[in-house]
Amino acid sequence: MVWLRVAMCVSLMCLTVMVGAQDRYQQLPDWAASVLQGVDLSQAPADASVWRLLDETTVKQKDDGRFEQRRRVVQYVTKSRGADRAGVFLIDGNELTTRIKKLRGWHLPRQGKMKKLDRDNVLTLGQSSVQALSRDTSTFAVLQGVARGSIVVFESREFQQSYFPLSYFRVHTGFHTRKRVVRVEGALSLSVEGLDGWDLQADSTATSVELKDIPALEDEVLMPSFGGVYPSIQVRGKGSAAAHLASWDAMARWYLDLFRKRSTGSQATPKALAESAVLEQVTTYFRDKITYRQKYLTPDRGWEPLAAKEVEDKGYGDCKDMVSCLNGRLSNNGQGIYPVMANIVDGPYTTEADLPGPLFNHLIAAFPLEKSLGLPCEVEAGGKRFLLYDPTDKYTRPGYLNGTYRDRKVLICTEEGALWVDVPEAGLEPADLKLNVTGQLDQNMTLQGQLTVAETGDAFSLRALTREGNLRNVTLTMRSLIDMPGVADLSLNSHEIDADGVAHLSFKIVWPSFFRRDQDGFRFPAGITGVDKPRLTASGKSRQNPVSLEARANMIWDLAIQTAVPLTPGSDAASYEGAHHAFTWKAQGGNNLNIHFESVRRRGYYPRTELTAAAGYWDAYRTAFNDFYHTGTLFFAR
Amino acid sequence: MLLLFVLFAGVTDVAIPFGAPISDADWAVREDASRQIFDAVVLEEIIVMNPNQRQRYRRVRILSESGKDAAELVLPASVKKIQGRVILPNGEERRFNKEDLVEVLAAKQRRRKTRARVLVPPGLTSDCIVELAWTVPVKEYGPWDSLGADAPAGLLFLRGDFHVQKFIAAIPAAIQPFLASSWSGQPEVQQNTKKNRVKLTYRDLPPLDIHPFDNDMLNPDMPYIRFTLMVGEDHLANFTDQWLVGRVNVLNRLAVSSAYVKWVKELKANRPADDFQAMMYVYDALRHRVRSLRLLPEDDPRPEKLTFYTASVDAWIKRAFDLGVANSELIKYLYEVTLKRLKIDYRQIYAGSRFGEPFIPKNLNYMAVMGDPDMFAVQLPDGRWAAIAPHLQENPPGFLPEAYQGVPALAVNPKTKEAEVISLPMLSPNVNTHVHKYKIDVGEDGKVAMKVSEQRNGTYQGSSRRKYQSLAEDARSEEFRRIWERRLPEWEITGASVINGDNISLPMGFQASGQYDMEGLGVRFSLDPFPGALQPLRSPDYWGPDRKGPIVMTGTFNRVDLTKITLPQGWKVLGNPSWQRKNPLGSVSLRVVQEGNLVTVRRDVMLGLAQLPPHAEADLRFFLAWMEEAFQQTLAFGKSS
Repeated sequence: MVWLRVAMCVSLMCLTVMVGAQDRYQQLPDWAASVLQGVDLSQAPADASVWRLLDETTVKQKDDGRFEQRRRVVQYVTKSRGADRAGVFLIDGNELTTRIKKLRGWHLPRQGKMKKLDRDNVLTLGQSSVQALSRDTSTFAVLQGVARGSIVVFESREFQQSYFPLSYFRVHTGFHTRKRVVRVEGALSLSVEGLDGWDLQADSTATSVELKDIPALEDEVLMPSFGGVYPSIQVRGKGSAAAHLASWDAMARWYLDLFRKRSTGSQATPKALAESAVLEQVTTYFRDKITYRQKYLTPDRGWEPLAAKEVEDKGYGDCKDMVSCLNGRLSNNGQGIYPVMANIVDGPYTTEADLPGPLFNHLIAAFPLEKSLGLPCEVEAGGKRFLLYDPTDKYTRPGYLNGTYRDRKVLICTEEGALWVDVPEAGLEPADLKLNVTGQLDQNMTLQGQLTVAETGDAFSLRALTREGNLRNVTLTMRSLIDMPGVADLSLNSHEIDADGVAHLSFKIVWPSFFRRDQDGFRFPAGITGVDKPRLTASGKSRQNPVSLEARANMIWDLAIQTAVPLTPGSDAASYEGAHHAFTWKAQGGNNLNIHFESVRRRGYYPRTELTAAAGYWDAYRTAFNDFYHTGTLFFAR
Repeated sequence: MLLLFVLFAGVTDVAIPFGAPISDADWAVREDASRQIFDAVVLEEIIVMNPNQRQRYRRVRILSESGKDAAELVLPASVKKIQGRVILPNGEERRFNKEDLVEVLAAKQRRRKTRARVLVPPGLTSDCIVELAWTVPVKEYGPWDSLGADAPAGLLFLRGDFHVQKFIAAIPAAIQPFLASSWSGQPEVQQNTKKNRVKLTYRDLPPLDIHPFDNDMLNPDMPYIRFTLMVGEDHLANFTDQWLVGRVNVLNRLAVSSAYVKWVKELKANRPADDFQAMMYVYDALRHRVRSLRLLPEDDPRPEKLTFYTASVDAWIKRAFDLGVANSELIKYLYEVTLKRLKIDYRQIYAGSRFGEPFIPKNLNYMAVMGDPDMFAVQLPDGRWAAIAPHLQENPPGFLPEAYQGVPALAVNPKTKEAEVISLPMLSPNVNTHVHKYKIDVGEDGKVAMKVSEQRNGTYQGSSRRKYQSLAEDARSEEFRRIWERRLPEWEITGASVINGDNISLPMGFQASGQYDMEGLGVRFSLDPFPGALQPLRSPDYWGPDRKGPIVMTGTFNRVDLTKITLPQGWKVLGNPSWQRKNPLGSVSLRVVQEGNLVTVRRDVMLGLAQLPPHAEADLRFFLAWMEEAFQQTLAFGKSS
């Protein structure tokens, strides 16, 4: 019977351990305890620093149109480095339109008693800055003492009043997530967007979306820097504003009507722009009189422009205020513009294929034209002709847009509805940077000489900075462009912008270790050619993020340098031409080095569904460039 | 307080000129590189300090689009009487309204809201004058009242982003302004004895530039005002009386626990005879017995039991000892009382940081050194002083924190309360030695295997303890592995471990290993001989011209990287990659030797000076250029012919 007693003891011990764990969970709210009871924490994914066991959001629309949002989060800290992030819960909101009704937190340490969130550790910070005034807030709830082995639980309930009855939730939460649920109650609709290629299955019903085992996204090289590329869950509500999003046509008509009411009050169809001289006048006006500044003190200001006269009077405004101001100034003689929804910089590449929504980060103008004025950024759509114009861009030549609009579509809001147009490549101001270096290189490879630069089309903001009078930033920008080490001196001798808008800059240059010892020779500055290219993925890992190749204006280098020591280039000539990258290298050695290097970067985007193609392209380019770089940019003292 | 109020009650003798006509001279100001006038000029800035309010005035000439930033203003919500106007060259004037000063939420905690007011000036152009005046009420009056958004309490730096043509500070005479003793210029000083007020006028202050390794308070180009309440003529007597008495009283009445008595008894039994050795012995013993809060395991429950501010200091010290955890202040008390009980002839050391406000003996600016003693010291037989900071338990015994190396300090004898000025030593670069030892094997197939071990001494040992001590043993190694994975993203890191993590008396060591596939060797291949080893010092991206202030480096160091590379048969190092450079600040060298298929590489980077005059900048930049060069240098290998 001894074996039976032993077996019973062992069983009892096991039971005690299990019951111990279960008992510990009873210190947490029931819903959190039930999540934990079904999970073996020792099975946490090996690469996760925090395992989010549940991330649940429930949305309901109140009679007054507000969204009531309830969140529940349960997470287990598997590694010390995840502790700080795991202990913080964030609610983004707005002082006027967000009401946090409940915000609770529980921390169950590996050993010891459960601790509740201390109200003193809930902090709301205003998000205003001098350049962008708003009522936006971030509320942080912080649980203290969170460490490896901690279980962290948060629960919140808040009311949000948005301009549109619409919420977007990213599928990826920043943590490896076991279960992500978005649920709606009442007359709300729900959809999941952008799951293609992400190896995720959504279990969807009319009222809920559930996804399981979502990995945390790690930082990788060549990640997209713009929005709209990650899967999201959209929740759409009812209300008058929802009707504006019924279609792109509805949205365009609504916005044109609103814009005109706010801008001048007149709904009259504007006369066509007859002569391009007007562009010069308005550009000069905006450059001299209007400062770009966001002042969003009420929720509608994200969409509704100030009256044209108010903008003129204050002398500042954001993009839509400036477009309103432009409309007002033209209206005196019956002219005007159409508002154009657009995206720049980190905005998504929105097209008509997207579900209608507030998917823009910029507003520009379209001048109606009867006939072509021969300007580069003219577009045709719906049998009509327009000229696209951005009044916030003070330093691009009128008639052009700048390079941030490359490959993008914009939506012209007309009486007939939405007119989607491609921004024409020819409508972007041509931009490149020519750099000439002359000078002498001493025995210690210190270069003393001159750098002269000609920038066309504000390729790297040198023209804008020069015009703004920001000469210190001209030098700093130049340094960072060529990745000049801090130990080198670069001082601006002269600056001039010619009649064609080309910025001519001249710098004195003193650069210790211009050529650096490397391998069996001396390395040409990597800031000029770029360093060797990394692999798309870290060793032993598979690529997670889409691949984005950013366009960059061409850089054309010519160097004529006298050297104390005769040098022979590793490569006399090399070149490459790919879909997104090209370079040309020519070098003559001796005591008079002559080097020419040109590089081209064109935009490319490979979503998750095209990662194989991305890897194929990148590997070919990487191999070609690295082969050139490793030996081609070495110089030998022979 | 009443007395002070009576002293200060009185109207200001500096008029705020808001609304006065703009002079032609103001309009005539233009960008002028020779005077460093770019973008905008502060034509006049006035601060009038009153007992219950600060009056402020600013008149700015804007000269470019970038210069509009000079009209930016963020104020506390309590600001009163704000006035502003924009004046255009044609005389047109635009006065600011209430709505131009927007109140926004800065922060909210429970029901406490802090709000700020942001000025959004209307009618601003790139060619105008902006005039602003406002008043900030102050609840308390004293040197600790911050005067500028970024200034530490009681400090007012007078240079900013734009050229300042005239700066006036009107200060009650009872507040003693320490004018920047290192500033090369001098303000005009007018004393109005009737109103107990001093008016300081500064002219033509150029905008700030970036000077790496700078300390504004040592910069002769940086005027600043240091406010302190006057405490009498004999500063030193005041210092010792006011700051020491309290501390000595606490030490004298300290009621210690029986556990402490027993612990001291054991220490006494093993006390080294030499005072310096004894001081280090107590340091090591105390850090084993009572651990700093900063170095505790992350889930240690004891800090909660060390209830702060509820008991008297002596009860608090007793509790700390019994719990075995303490904050810095308590550790210093425990250390000092133990030195006393072991009859070590020590001094309390009060010093100003090399990176902050200097202690200037001739000024006896005790504000720089007030508070707890920073360290304790004993005098060595040769007359030099050896100091120790007992609360910085991460440091190896005998290590003097870099902030206090080479600075003057007050050494106070607690028995006699006598203070003398001493000079703390600058430690040798060899104290901060950091060594990497690599072993690298290159296969015929291009597969590379690497093992590296690290020894970190001095400051590197201290910073490692700070980073890793509070982690569990496996978490330390996990964190170290993550660091190497980031440094070498294309390598597979096969091992990473932190050694002696739990034993604070032994040096914490580090080991890592990894492999990399070069996918064949071809006819020639290249290799970083020290993969993943980072530079000891980040080379700054930008150095402003015309440096006037001293160069304050974090510390001296000696960095040694060694590698032994085993090559496949028949391969050799190409060229002659060895080189060395040296200047008065330090040296950099790379030495490569091949014997058979074994290549030995040694890289040395030594910085021998940590406090440099401004003219040493050229040498420093060359030193940094060499360091960067040595850290980016790879080796090339080819087949022997």
